[in-house]
Amino acid sequence: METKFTDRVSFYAYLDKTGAVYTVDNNPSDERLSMIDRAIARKQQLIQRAKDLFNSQNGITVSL
Amino acid sequence: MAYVTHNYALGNHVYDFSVLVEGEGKKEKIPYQLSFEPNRHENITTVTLVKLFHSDKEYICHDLRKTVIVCFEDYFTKFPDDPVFFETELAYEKNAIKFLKFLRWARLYKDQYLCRVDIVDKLEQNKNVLYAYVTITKI
Repeated sequence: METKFTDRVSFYAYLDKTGAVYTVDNNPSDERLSMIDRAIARKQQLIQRAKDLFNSQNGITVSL
Repeated sequence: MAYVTHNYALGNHVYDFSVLVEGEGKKEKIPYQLSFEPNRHENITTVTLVKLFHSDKEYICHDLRKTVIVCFEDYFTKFPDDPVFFETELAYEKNAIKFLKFLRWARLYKDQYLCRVDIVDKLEQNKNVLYAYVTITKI
C-alpha cells in the first residue's frame, strides 16, 4: 500500500506553477470529511463494478 | 488515435476505447471507459475515467490524453451548457502528480474551458486528507 505524503509546501508550489485558480478549505468540518470518506468508498465500488462488467463481457476470469 | 465507441445507457454517456501502451518491454492495448453521469437535481455531470484492465501496472501511454479530450469535446458539443465535475483524492503522491499534470495540460484549453478547483486539506497527526473537487465548464 502506497503511503500518503505530507509535503504540502511542494504540492502547493507545483499547484501554483500550473496557473490553476483554486480555493483551499483548511478547516473542513467532520461532516465534510466523512462525506469524502464515503465518496472514496463509492468511487472504488464504481470502478470495481465497471471492471467486473468488462471482465464478464470479455470472458475474463480473475482467480484469487 | 484510439477508436472510440459511444453508448448511451441508463441516462449515462459512456465512451469506450483502448489505447496502445508500452511497458516492461512490450506493447499492449489497455481498455478504458470514460463515463458522464448527469445529475439533473444538482444540474451537474460527474465524469469518471476507469482503466478496465491491468490497473496496477505502470505504462507509458501516448494516446490516452488525446482520446480523452476527443471524448470531452464530443460531450461538450452535445451538451455545451452542462458543467462537468470530478473529485479525486490527492494525498497519495501518484494521484497528486497526475492531478498536477492534468491542470498543466488543462491550461492549453483555457480559452475554451473554465476549470475550477476546490481543495480540502487537513493534515494532523492522525489525519491526512487532501482532496480536490474540479468543475469544468465550456466557455
